[in-house]
Amino acid sequence: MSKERAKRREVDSQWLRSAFWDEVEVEIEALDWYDFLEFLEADSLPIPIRGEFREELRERLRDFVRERYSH
Amino acid sequence: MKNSDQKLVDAIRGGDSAAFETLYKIYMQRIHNFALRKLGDPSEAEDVTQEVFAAVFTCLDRFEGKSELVVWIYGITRNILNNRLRRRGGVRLLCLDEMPPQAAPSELGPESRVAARQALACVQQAIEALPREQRRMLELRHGKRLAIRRIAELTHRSEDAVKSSLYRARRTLASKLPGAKLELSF
Repeated sequence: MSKERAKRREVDSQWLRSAFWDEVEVEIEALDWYDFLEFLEADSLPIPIRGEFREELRERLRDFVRERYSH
Repeated sequence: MKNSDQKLVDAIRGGDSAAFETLYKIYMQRIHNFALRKLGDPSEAEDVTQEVFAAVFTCLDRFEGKSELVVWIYGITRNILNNRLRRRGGVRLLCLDEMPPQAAPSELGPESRVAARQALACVQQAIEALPREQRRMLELRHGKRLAIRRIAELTHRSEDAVKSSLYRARRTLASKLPGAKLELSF
């Protein structure tokens, strides 16, 4: 198994563990409003994103979503 | 959950590629920039962005609408960032001065920006209505990002008293700002 694939599997299993979602719930319940506002406003910060990254990620996710949710 | 959130999630689950594009456009820049602000490392910010989206799309079936979609995605982002920061052992905030000068073209429409600003104004009002001491503690902790110990020194209070004041301030804000008041029309 390639190193990247092994890493991918590790990350996948992390999301699927209930502890991960418990912590997401904790974050939501203890919502830090200043931090949340930073999140809301973050898209207006003058930070360029690498076009290559943006497009590659979009392609990968689109394929993934198509495969997962197509009926 | 807002009706628009429900429609978007249902459309993605139903295989609508336009809905996928909408969600990607709304959150891509936001997640990336937020991660970069927290981590200060462009390469790590890209990794986090990828992880967040993968978690969102892998586990969209888990989204039950108990909170707004934006809050759910924020929770996932925050958790992935926390895990990374724990492994690394600290936070490094990137100052605006350190960011590249060129402005990124935003893919978001003006409506999203207006909605975010309305939410911001709503929170600002709630903060202004807090008792003076709680407001001051919030400002020192989150505005100036001072450590609890430093705030205790500056205000001549114990660290426990500072923590208690911050806790009360957050509870008051949370009670005044239920999710329903966040009119984020995504």
